[in-house]
Amino acid sequence: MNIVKSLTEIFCEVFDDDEIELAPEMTADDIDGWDSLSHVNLIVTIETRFKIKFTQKELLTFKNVGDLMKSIESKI
Amino acid sequence: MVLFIMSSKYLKTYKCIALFLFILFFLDKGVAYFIVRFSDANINDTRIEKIINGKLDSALIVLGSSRAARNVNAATIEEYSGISSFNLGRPGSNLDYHRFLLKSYFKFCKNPKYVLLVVDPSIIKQDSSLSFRYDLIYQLANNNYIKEFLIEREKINVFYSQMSDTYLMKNSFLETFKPHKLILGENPLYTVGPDGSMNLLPRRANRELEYSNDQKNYTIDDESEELRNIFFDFIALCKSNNNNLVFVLTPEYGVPMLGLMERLEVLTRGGVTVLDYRNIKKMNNSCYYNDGIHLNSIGAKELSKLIAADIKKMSLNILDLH
Amino acid sequence: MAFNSLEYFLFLPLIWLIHHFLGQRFRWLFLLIASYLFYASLKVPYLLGVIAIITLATYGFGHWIHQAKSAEKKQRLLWGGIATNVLILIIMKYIPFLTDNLNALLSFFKSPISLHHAPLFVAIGVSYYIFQAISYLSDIYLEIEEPESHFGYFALYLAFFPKLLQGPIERAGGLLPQLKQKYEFNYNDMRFGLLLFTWGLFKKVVLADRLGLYVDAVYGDVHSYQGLPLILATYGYAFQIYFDFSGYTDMALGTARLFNINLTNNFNRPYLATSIADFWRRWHISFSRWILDYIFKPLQMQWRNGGNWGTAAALLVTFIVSGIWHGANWGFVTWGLLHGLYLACSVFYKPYQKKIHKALHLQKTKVLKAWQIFITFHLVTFAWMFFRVHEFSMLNYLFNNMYFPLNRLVNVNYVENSIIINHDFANFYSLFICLTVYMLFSIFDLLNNVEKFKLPYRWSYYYLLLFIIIIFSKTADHGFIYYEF
Repeated sequence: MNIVKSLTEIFCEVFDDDEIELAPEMTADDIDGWDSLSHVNLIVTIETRFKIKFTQKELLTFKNVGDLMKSIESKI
Repeated sequence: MVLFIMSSKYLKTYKCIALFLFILFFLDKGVAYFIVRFSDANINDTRIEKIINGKLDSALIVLGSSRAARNVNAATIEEYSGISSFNLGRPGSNLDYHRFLLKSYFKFCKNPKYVLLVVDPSIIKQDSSLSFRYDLIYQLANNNYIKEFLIEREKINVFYSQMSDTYLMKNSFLETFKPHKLILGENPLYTVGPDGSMNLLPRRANRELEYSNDQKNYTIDDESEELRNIFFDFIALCKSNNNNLVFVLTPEYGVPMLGLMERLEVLTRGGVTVLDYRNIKKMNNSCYYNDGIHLNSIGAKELSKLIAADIKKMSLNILDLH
Repeated sequence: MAFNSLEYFLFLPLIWLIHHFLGQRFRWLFLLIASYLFYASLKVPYLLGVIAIITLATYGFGHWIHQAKSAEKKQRLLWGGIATNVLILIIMKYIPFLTDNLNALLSFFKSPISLHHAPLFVAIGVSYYIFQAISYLSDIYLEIEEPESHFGYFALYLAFFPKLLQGPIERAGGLLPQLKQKYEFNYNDMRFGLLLFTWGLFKKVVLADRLGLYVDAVYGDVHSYQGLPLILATYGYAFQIYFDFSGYTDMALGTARLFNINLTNNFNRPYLATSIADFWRRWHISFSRWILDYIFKPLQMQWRNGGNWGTAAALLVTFIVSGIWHGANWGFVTWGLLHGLYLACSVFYKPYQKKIHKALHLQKTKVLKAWQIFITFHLVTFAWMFFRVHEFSMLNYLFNNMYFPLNRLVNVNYVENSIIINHDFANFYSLFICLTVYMLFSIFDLLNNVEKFKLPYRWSYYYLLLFIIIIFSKTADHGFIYYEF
């Protein structure tokens, strides 16, 4: 299961944009529309799709896509 | 450390700051000068200036609000009594302001023999239409006496007024900058005659003034303690200066207020002469009035003849109270 | 001492001079003492005690959280630290409000028990540095920051006088490194700092205070007015509070700049916001980022499985807290609740709104932007009414009498009496001239562009600003609005 591929699919879905390409250094500002609402939708979709649960602490400390990916990896 | 201060690294900064402040000093004086010139061109009431320059020397002065300014004609008093008179009344001014004028007059001018205070029914009440007319003295803020007074009344800050001439004169500018006057012209209601009086031109309207039968009663509860104290102070000032203080109640086209005379009697303990013209037969003619409490220039003249006669009697020691 | 007071005009250069010639070693100590002296000048001694306690407690908890081994212990210590701070905040600010409301409730149920009316503490500055302390502890817990080992720098981080009384609310990661940096005299910093300070002074003592004269005159005697003056006073208040608070912020940032410190910018043309969410990215930015990071985001994540309702609830709670933070009365709470409702509703209608804009081909047009700015400004101004007016009866009168009197506008007298209150022509002309000057100076962004001018033009601008302040400022003293929070 390729995490990056699945994650990219989820991003494209949530932000309604087929052309997103993920890079570890990407932050919230890089993706159009990644404001508070989309962020939450993103997390919920990821949790459902990967069948994992993030802790409150983790969620508040993700700095970029790279942190997100690492965390998903550690939980699968 | 001194070497440190003198280090050339900061020399440029010091020079810059010094030059900036130097120019600021001169700009400040310049702007203040222009404000004074601008205000002078816009003043139409020069009476206070005359007082503090000692240019008035009348033996009889009239103080009060619009009832003094409009209803009394000082020139007529002078003509019919032989006593030199000047009207210091100003519409919208309160007792605090009258006392200020009195004090200033005593300080800078020859001691007057008679002080006529025209009494409003609301003289010692909080009346929003009467106030201390700071706006009339801001123009003179560069005069030491006025400056000290404004500082005492906390209208200007003592430190700032010493640092900046512009600050000192800023209120003068704010009061005299009235562009709407350029369009609407000078308000004829506020021209001051050479005798100080501000009499009103008779109304052209054909509307007949109605005699008011509304009986009003004087109430003590809404008196202001502060104004009451000023009232006593006013009387004491005249006493200590050996002036003849006279209260004047100017005519009204209506039933006079009950209880006012009695209240004045109580407050002054009968020690001040009160001339009550409110219901005089001679003044009971609507053509003398512009409104229920203000006479026009014709009425003012008639009233002043009466005042002159009574003052003359007083001067001959024949007291004849109505 | 207030930033616009004579004492401060003497205090600041003195402090700056001493600071300038002092070595790096004692810089923090001197600034700390100066800050405490500044706080002491309010003549409320117990406030010094409050900030000292907060400093000690937060410093301690910060280290304990960091040193704790288990995640549970860390969390318990975090909540302990936050609870300590919040408890002190409640005691300082909300006891009278709580006891009064509790008494009202008790009497409603006809209970014989009643509490003593508690005294109101003066609490200037407390809300701001307590929020800083809480952010500091949270950042340590989230391992974004490490606890500050140097107690002196930590104390200065909380007490630094330019931001002590009304913020901005600084994050440890932003302010601490700057405080520790070696001071080197920077002519540009000094020049810009002074200019920013003067600009803030202009906004406060000329624009805010003079608008205040008008607003206070109308709101202070509402029943004498109908229609136009009430509308003007309401708009006037929206601008008064902006000039007052942003003026203060400019003075704070300008002061800090003199010491080479860059505090966070608190305002970014808030009334040009195109939505309430956008408004909160432009108004009191340090505060709104704080409630975003430390209240909204955690709550939203906590309730993420509630979908839109979860987010809406998080928004409501966040902004009610914001209302409470501003003050212990129902006016402020209503104001906060209103903003919470604005945002909560937008969560639901935003997708539909986007569809409508797309269908009408309005997306990204100037017309749409103008419309959005217009609506947002009015929503915000409406909410400010609750901020300013706390009596329900007065609000009731306002809502019933705040109509736009088209038929009365032909009456010149009415219009004149609506614009010029208490025959204060001086105020009207001053505002007219100075607001025009403000608009011109802002449109050309002279604050930032003036350094490009040649010296004679630069200095002319400085002198113009100074003389406008001297001539058009109000005479009597007017406190800062945001002092009371």
